[in-house]
Amino acid sequence: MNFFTFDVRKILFVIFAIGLPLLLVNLQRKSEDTLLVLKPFTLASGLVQKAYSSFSAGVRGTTGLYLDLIDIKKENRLLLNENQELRAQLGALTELRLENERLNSLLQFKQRSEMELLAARVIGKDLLPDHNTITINRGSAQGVNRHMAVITVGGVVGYVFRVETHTARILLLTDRYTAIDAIVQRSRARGIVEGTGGDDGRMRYLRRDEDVIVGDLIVTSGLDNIFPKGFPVGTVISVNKSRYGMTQEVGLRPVLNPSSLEEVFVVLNANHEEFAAEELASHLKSTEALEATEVSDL
Amino acid sequence: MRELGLISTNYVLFVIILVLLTSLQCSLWMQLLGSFPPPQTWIPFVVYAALYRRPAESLALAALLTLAATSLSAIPLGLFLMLNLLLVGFIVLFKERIYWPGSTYFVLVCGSSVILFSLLHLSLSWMIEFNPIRHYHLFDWTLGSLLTMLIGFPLYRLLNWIDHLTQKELPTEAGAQWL
Repeated sequence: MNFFTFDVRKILFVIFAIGLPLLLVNLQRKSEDTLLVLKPFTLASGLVQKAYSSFSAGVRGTTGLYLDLIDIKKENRLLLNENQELRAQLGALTELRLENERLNSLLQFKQRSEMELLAARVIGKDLLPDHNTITINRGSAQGVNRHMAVITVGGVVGYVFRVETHTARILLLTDRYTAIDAIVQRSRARGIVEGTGGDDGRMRYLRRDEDVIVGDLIVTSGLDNIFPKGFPVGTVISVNKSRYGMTQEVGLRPVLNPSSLEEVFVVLNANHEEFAAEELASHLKSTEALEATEVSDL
Repeated sequence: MRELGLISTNYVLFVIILVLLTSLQCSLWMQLLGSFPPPQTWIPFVVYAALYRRPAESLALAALLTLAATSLSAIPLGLFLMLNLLLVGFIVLFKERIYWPGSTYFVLVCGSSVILFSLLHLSLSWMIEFNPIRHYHLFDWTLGSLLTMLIGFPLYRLLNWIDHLTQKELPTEAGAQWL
């Protein structure tokens, strides 16, 4: 075969093989649009991709939802635990706040009062249900003696009947063995307040002709300098005059529930302090406000 | 001499456990559960003394237990002593008629004793006290009785164990100690 003899078909094939891609490259460079010939393919592949994508998105969504549920469960458990912890903390903080309010009220009372007072915490109650006594965390080492009065901001609690070195037992106003010298604030009628073993008390040895009506406030007489004079004991709820006899019996409700107390004051020295009616009213109001706050918080 | 030591150990252990339990009743119970009626924790000790000791010894042990418990109440020592000794007497009399060994009997007697003690207290209060009991804490008595029965089971085991530890033998038949 001669050197210069060319097979035209081969040359055309080579030109076509090189030229067509060049032409396509050139055409693509010139235009951003998809080639018309490629359109069906791109359209088809696009549709297939979209179908795959939708399918995979669905699968991914379901799997994700399932995985999320596991996570949500874990998260929910964590949040519940956290919620419980926070609730416990809130309870403790509320308790602290209430204690703070109570102590603040006691402190204010102590600062205002001329009496020598010793603050004490209630740490126990009586062994028998038929007796109303409490134990406090102060004893003879802190100067507590028998028959010392025990009060709180709102009124009389009782008095000390047994003293140990670091503790003392208090006979509450409502105990059957309690006897406190008291007067009716309005008429100054004098008698002895006794407990009944329940939540109420009674006033005995009041002369038959003394003026007592339901709603009267009974206060301490202060004659023995154990209790301050004029300190609230209870409110009259009934007056019984028997057909015969020289005295009348008065039922009373203590101004405070002595069995629900947490902090009290032991009166080391009453210093003959006397509570006026206005002062009493402010005491009672502040106690009621404090109790109302506690109830609303609960 | 050794026997005396064992008896003393037995009594001392009884008193220590009694003091721990009664203090728990008066202090911890109140702080945790407020005014919810507690079990009468000293009753099982008195019942145990009455059931598993000779009569004279049961009276002595009951008196000792009363001395240990009385500091936690306003009740006068004489009255409390009288009540507990009466309780021992009633239990001993009851035991002579109906008795079977085991913790169930002990627990039932404990529960009944709480009610009996309250009734005896009420009666004696009306007989000898100037300002007698006027409020009948029926709810406290009932719940106290049930809770005392509940603590009766473990206490029976514990007191039994102390008896074994100090080589005290339990009578197994009614009235065996009388023979």
